[in-house]
Amino acid sequence: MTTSNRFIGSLLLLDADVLYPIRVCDFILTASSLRLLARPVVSEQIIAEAQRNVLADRPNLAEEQIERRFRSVRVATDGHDQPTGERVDNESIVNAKDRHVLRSAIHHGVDFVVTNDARLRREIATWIDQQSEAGSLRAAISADELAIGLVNESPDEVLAVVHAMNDRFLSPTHSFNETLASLTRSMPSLQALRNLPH
Amino acid sequence: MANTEQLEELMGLLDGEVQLVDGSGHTVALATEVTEAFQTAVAQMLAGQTHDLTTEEAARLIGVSRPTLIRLLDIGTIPYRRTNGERGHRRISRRAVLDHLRVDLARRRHALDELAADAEAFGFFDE
Repeated sequence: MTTSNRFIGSLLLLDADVLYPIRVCDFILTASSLRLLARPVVSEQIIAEAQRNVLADRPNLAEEQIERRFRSVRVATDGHDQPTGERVDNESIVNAKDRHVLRSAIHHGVDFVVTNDARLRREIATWIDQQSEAGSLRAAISADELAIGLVNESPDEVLAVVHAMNDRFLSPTHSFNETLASLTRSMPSLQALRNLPH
Repeated sequence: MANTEQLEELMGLLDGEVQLVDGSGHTVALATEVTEAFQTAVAQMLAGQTHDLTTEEAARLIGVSRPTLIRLLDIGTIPYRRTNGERGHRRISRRAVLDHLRVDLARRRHALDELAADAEAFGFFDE
């Protein structure tokens, strides 16, 4: 890892819409376990929202199954066992229901908030513009923008992340290409990996 | 002699599946035991680097936010000492940080194994 890279090694705060869909979440957590990214930050509030989203979207799953998944997510992330940060200056720029995201991001000194909510990304961009010192927070980005950044900086390491994910599947029916195809549904920029030798 | 940054980068590389590549491009995958021997050697070289780490440096090396690192110190997960003075600063030995990192990465990878098994069982990647 080098400090000159913009995305590699960065500290991310993951919003609820990045914890679910599962494929995006597992990609980021795997990248973190391979030290391509720092251990991502979430809050208990964000986990609760993601958990509700899975329950609503997958009514066939038992609550216990979903709880088990988020227990593992807690092991692989940070911040959920700490209080959400306190009020920050000019936070009214951000919609009231999403201010906890900004507070957690500032409290933990993250580099990026990863959210697929375009409105929240715009609001955080406006908030950063208005700060004389926004701390380490550089931007709010979508999951695909994160993928673009990582692929541009180190395509081989991103390829290794997809391989690591694929290697974890027990079923031989999951091929590398199928795993990649699944990931590209949420992060189209990962298509670029198809052109690399693997 | 390798500097700290080079050794830390090497430590990061040794966390994954490791291959050696010779000048002609021929690759050899390293057995786990060989990788672990490399990790031990690099960890010893890092531990031999004299200065203890600030909280900022330790957080960066582990790959966590500074509040999380402070919490790990406060609850005794990682030992530290304070510099002299009324409001001494916390300093953490490189060895303690690397020991924590190794255990933590193992826990996280186990969690990822469970996540993958569930994702597969629930068809999350087929949707």
